[in-house]
Amino acid sequence: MVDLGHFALVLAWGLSVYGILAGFYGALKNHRAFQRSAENSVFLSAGLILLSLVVLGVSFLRHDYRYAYVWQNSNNDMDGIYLISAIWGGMDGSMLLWATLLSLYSASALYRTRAASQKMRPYLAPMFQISIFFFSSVVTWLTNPFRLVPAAAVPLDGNGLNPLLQNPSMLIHPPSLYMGLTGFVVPFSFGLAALMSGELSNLWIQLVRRSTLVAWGFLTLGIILGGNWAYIELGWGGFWAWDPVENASFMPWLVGTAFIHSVMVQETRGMLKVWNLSLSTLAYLLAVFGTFLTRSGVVQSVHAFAETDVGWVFLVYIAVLGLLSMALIVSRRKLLAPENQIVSFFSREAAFLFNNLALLAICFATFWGVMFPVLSEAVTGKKEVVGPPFFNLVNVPFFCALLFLMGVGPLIAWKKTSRDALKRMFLRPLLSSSVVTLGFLLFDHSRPWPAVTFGLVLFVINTVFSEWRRAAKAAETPGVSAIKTLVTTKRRKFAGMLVHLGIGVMAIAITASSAYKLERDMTLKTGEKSAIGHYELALAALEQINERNYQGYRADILVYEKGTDQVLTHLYPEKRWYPKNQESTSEVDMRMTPRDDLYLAFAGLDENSSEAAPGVVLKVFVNPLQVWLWVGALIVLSGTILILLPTKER
Amino acid sequence: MNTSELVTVALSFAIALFAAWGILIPFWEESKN
Repeated sequence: MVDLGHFALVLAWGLSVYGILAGFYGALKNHRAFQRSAENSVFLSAGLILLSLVVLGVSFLRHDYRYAYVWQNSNNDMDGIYLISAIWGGMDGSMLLWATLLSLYSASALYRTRAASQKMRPYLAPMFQISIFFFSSVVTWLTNPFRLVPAAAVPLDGNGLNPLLQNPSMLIHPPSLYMGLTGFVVPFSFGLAALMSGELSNLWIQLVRRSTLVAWGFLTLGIILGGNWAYIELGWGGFWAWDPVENASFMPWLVGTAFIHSVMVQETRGMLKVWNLSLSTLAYLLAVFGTFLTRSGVVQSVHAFAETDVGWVFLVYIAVLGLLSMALIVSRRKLLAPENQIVSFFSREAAFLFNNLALLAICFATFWGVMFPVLSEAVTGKKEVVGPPFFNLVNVPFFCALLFLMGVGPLIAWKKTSRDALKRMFLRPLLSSSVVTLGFLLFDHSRPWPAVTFGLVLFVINTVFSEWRRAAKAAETPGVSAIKTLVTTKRRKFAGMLVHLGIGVMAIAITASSAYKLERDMTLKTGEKSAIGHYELALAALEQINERNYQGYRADILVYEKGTDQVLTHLYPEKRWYPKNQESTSEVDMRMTPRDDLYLAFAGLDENSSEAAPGVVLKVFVNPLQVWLWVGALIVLSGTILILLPTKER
Repeated sequence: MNTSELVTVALSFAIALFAAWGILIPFWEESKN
């Protein structure tokens, strides 16, 4: 029988092969009809891959267990929204989602830039088709979600989705992350098309700005939602563990951030051309590498590496594109010569260069940390794992350098800044930051990095506000109307500063919640109180729960302000057991305030307690200023949206 | 072959035709000019 989803995939794959051949032929022979035909093939491939994703979604909603993938990742008890998130609950569907988003980005970028650059344009369609070809090949031939269960063996019920993934944020986190990662295909393809055509002005950078920012925004959102999911769902009290899966999305984010900044140097000063082309390639290849890393099992074990075909295919793809990009850059090196040199270290281009170096240093350290277990196992036969202490030790100083540059970069002038101007701009902010840092050091000299971070964040905030003040002064409008003027006349700048402000707020929250976190394993028996920080906790009741697909316990915990009888709130952490999946989960409950989060995870029942006087073991955390991480992220995202809104200014 | 299979086959055929039209139309337009 013809299967619509599978058929659409195969057709999209065939069109991608055609698009590469027709596109390059059309570009090299300057044959207009071949060029346009190749462009149409991109739109058609994108539509067809989207169609197969829709077919897969409908199969989940209809519990169509003829497909092994649907059977493995859903069951009859699941609600509608989780049936949708089950699409990307496993490898096959995730790869299909990747291919869909990548091809939609390609088609949309190709359509939006249809009027620009006649010279570069013929190379765009075949470049996009190379990526579509790769991912549609993987989905069609290696991880096809439309593989059928033998007709006689179609089961009546499915396996179900991992309970950890049955969380509302799983509905937006993976698509958002993939929207970010796949978006880097646009700067990458435009960069390579520019190299192939020799059209190496700033045009390609201007054409990819929007897509890059959209991708960056989604990647930021995806990473934050992932952190939020880990915080709420995993019950270990933190949001970031330098886990390989997290690092896989963080590395392209770092390179993407570097790219967003370094293109400004090319646009203004005609420098860093090779650098920008390399960054656009690196961001995309790291995005692909991240998918390979999380999906091939290479980090968990070197042996899984040899066992999956998918892993090798990804590595070959990355190597081929990396080499192609390098070869093209070398062959075009004359056209890529910088138009200017760095005249002074006290210039914006120098600040941007250092910002890029710091971001890449963090990326490299993270890469090293991720790959170290693999390398050590390959060399010594023993797997050495590097944990959060390694990442924090290496990366925190670089993050501090970045914060410093975030304060310097936006204020300092292009080309050269005089000593007087430097003094005028930075003396007071630096002095006040030093006072803050010294104050914290006096308060607690055992932790220098948090003290330095708080000082630097103050420096960044100072810069943001002095920049706004300066612009308001220039516009001669006071107070609130100054912000209005700024938003309308200098929106990109204002929005950029908003993003910096958000990062500053996030930096405070990350530092405070990691450095000053309180953590205790607490046994609570009925009638007893136990303290942590400024809270006191007591067990009010323990209740047994019996739901349709899980059983477990719910504790009713009374939260007091320490030393008083004033009840602040009740919290209800749960321990659940899902018999079908043979998995237990701990449902966290917390009290979120601007000052701190009181975070309770149900670890288990107290073995020494009785039914008459029950007791529970809780993992209790007090995370100072935690909520500001999410507030800061919202500020960053509002800034990004503000930059992306259509504008008359240009 | 039941109705739903027939619909799927017809749909697949229509999609393939549309795709072929999409990549061939530029050649047809060029020959017309």
